[in-house]
Amino acid sequence: MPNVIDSNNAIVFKGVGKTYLKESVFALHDVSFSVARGSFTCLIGPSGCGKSTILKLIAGLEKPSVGSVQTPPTKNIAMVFQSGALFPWLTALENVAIVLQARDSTMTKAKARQKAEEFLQLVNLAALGEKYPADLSGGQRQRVGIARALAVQPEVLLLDEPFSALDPKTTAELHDDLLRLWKQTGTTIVAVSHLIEEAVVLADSILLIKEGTIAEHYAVTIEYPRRDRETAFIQEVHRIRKDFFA
Amino acid sequence: MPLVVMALAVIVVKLFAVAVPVSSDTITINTLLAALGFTLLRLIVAYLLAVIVSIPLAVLATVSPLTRAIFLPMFDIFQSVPILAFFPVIILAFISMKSLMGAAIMILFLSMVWNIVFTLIGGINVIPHDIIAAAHLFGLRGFAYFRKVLLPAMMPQLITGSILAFAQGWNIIIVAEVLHTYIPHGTSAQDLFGIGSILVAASANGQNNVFLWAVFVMILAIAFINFFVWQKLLHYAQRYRFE
Repeated sequence: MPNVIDSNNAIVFKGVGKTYLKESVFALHDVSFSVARGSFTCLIGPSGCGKSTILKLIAGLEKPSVGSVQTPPTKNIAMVFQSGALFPWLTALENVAIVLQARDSTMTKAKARQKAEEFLQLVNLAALGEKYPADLSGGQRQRVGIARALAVQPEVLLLDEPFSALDPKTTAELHDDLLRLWKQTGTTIVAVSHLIEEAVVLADSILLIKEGTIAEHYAVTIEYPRRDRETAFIQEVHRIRKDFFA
Repeated sequence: MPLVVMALAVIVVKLFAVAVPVSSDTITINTLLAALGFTLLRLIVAYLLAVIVSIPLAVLATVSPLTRAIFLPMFDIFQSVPILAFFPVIILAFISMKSLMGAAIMILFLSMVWNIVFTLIGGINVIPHDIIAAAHLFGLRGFAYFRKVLLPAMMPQLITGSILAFAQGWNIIIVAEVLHTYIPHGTSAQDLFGIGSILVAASANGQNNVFLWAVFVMILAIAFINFFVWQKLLHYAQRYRFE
């Protein structure tokens, strides 16, 4: 997979198709798009449309059957998982520190822990560093997942429906945190969501995926922070909703 | 792999090779406790060997669809063969190496190993895809993945498998210590000193008192190990479980 991409785009898909031989099913076909550096792109679409497959292709966890996927090297990509994917036998702090040492073998344990503390602080979890994932709430676990992903200072941060199992209040808080961190770090973010409202709150670019291909692309120009009672927000949601259910 | 295990067993046996014939008139509570010690030592050595061998076997059987297709049916056949079928062969092999203790440990090892292998395979199979993906994406690969992800992830199943394996070891201990029945023209002098051989000797000599005391000591030991080792480890392993 070539990893050389132009200076404006962090990710480029050209005519990408993905077939799972075992199921003889086309997960994706003819997918072409690019993601601008520093942008926040959201992939939306109904269940099983191929959103998560696109994310796995970006992460290098899957290879395309046809076409080309151009991304930064895997070491510059991080991901926040729907389940959190934290190691249950490690504390919050250790969950962050372990990936720092895995990505940089020269980093000492003490340095990794110190850096992990800084990133837990960034997601307001400094006081819970010694807690195990089982002792944290769903929202706190996702915060650790975000801290872990940001700690490796990725060029591209992938989010696979990380808020789908959380209550609305926690989700709103995490949205605010994520937007703050995005502004602070300038990281390119690609998120998957099945909620149009969530995509409009977060993203400046939305891709609607239907039946394994890109159905629509929307540029969202509403000022941040976006509130769901504002007219512009409601109009944007309605516009996408029409295509979503068409 | 069996050759490596046999070699390891021989080394261990050389370190504590004591084969005291059971003389039924001299059995006291101290003798019973000493016998229990030897039995436990054999069980522990066999168990440790079984763990050392099981982990790579379980990893090998799950590393790819190809190895899964090759090794799983193979392991299934091995674990289905009755342990006693191996016994005469193993005894003869160890007699030629002048090590009856090695034979006992090998028998115990064979009775334990598949319990651990199959529970570990089950454990590896339930590692969530997201955990594997996260480990891969964040650079935990190869030996780092094995040490920092796979081994801890297997911990709950290792404990469960160990409990099953040890129970299997207790079940087979009499067979493993009363070796003379498998040796042509064997005598009880060839039995290994242990709680299993004392049970058999006491039963054969009609010493019901000794027999009952031996059973009592064995049950006490099993209960003690269960309460102070396995239950503690099971509790500890909760932390390693995926939700």
